[in-house]
Amino acid sequence: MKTDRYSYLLSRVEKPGRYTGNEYGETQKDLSTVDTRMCFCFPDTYEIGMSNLGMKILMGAVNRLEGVWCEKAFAPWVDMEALMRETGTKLFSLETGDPLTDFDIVAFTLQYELCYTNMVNMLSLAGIPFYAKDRGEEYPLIIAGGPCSYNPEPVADFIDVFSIGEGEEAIPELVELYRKCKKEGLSKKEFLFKAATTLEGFYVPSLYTVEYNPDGTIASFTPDEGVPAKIQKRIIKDLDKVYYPTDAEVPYIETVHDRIVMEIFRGCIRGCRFCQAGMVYRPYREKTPDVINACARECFDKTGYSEMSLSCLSVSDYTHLPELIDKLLTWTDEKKVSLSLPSQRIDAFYEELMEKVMSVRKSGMTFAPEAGTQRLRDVINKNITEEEILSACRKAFDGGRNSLKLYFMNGLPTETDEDIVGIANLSQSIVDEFYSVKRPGRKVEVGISVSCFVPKAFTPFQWEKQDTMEELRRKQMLLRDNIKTRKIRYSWHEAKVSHLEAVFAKGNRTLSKALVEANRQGQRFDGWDECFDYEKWCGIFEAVGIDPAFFANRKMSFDEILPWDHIDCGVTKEFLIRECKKAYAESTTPDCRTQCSACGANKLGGERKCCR
Amino acid sequence: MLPVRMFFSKKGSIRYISHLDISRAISRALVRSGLDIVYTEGYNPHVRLVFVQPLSIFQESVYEAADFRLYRDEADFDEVTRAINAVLPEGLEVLFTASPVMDISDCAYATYSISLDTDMSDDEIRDELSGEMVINKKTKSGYKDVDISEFVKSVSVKDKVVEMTVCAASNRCLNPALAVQYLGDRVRSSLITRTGLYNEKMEKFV
Repeated sequence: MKTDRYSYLLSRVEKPGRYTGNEYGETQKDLSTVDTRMCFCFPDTYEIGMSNLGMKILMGAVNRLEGVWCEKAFAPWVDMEALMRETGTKLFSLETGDPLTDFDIVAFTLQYELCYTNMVNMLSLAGIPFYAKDRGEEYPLIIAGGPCSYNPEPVADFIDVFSIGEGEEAIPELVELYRKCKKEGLSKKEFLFKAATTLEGFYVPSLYTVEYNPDGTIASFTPDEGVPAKIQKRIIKDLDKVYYPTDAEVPYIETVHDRIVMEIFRGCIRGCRFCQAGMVYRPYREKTPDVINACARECFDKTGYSEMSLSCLSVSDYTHLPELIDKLLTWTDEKKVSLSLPSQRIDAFYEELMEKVMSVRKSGMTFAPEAGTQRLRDVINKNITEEEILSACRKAFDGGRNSLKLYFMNGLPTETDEDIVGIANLSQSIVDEFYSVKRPGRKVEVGISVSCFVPKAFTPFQWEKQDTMEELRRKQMLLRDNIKTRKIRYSWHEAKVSHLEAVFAKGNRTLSKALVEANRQGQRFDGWDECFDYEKWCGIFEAVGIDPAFFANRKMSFDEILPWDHIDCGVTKEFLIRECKKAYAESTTPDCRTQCSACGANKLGGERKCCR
Repeated sequence: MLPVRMFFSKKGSIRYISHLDISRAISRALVRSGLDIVYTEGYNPHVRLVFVQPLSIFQESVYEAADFRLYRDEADFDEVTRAINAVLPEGLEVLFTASPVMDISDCAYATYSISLDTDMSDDEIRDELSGEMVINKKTKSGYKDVDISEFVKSVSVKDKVVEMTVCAASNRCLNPALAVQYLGDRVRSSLITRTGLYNEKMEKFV
């Protein structure tokens, strides 16, 4: 920001660069030409928020509107928060340093459930009442979007309107409607009704009434008169033609993904049954290599970054990958830009491709078999065999690599102890694979990282329960006891954290009071080890009379009304039920390119997709 | 290859950005400038950029110097200056570029202007900063009492603004923030600005 109004804070915090803004490429506008001010809030630290591609896209898309200025704010780290509370400083934007209450619209992106407490805390720091019903015309409109809005219910009481689905066309539409209503002198309530009834993809929670059964399940979910019963998510039909931020801000302090990020497609053809992203981002849609390459070059020219990564759910599924890589390599080598390809599936041409790409820098290699036995991999529809895993590892070892990282999950539906031991066995086979050939002077290291299964909305496993923490911990120890060599490095996720994630992932509107109580008790940054406090959370749930196991550890039936049933993400409930039944039958479903499984997402349209 | 010395200022809220981050910001600006910047050799090539004397976080400067190279034998330095200024973040500004005259190791002293928010009088400030100044300083082997006065060449005070000349060689260097630290709680806040770099003979570093 241009002013020095917070110097009394900045000289006393650990990383002042988180709060000064003024990055190269930051959007500045003359306030006298601006009639609508928006503040985009990322409810985590600056380093995490500034790495988020969605934030760059949405801020850019809104800032292209004349007369509208979208600024940004992040959750202040605990040292800054303490100082702000001590000095009575309200949460401010980084561009002007103005308090959030000066804005017309405050937008939150909800990337993961564990950031809910940060969102509530940011409202608290801004002096904005939590509940939408308590906010009069004098307060900003509070909007939200992001992956968590596929089950918006735990935070529905706080938010005036959710954007469901891809937002770069929808959010500018909402902003324009807001300006029009403001000009006409309409009230917030009137604007919200218009948003819900005249625009597509917007969910206004206050226009729906929820009633509960005595057992706590949902009895009915009723829209007000004239309001759509289902909110269909928005998608971008043609990724080649949509706005892409090529002049995004270049932060000073190092962020988590401090590089050019090039999106190459949206959606996923795979259909792993635990994966929310794989379902809610359907249909699969590609960008063409020429468009990506031109865009990448522009990003480089405007930012000066020396690293670039391709972004998508599974890079090797991109139909034109070799062509794209060749195009990029025509200039990236010369410009000393290193390319990285994240999220790889295990397949044949992986290593050759990596060799080509890694001509500048060599990074680690990770695979995600997710489950230790073929039976369980079939249950989750991972569609990969042990032989394929081993042959990919062999290629990696032959290519000179000595270390690999593997991701697994425990607590998956139908999992038995045999599947857990299977993780140890598979890892051992990989170690054995390394030593099956003489590799003089080389030692192998196989890292295995095991997370806990969290059932998520709009997956075939959305009805499933999570294992209890005791069970998850027992399985973690069982696996530890079955690893016989130090060549395997084993790490696992804290079950308590995954438990809280499951509560909010499957939660309903009653959870809002738990979030308010959590804020009262000073709980935030649940995604951070140093701040997560399980004992405190137990007390929070007890104080508000909520049994977290009702959400996390209870299997729902197919006919129960789900908290998120009013959202339409494209894939149908019939498809999800079909997939869930196939999972229990240990039967796999082919990827979308091999055969269409009629998930329903193709009704949304889209160019260069794989379904018809 | 053409060695270039770039002289620049750092003012405003960018003083909250550390030296390492500034170094990265300038490297990226050099890339954006489209100039034929020389990279380091090796597996992990990066812009070859060397700072004459790093500036501490929270400090401003009107005279910083850093060296880089271009893949050519001669250049219009005004053109080079313009090209970089066009792509620098706000708060950084190239004053001029030129062929290096002195060796980096010739840099020996830096001058600072330190404005203090304090109730102390100019005389009190001068007295405190003129004698022995023992502070508890963090070193590689824990905290140690050090007398920093041996690194101070001269001090003058007027209207609560301290003008100081201190050592600024690579092996013998004083961060003037330590002098402010020595004054203790009597100083509510301070703004330190580096005003120049000099060689052993107190000739401007060029």
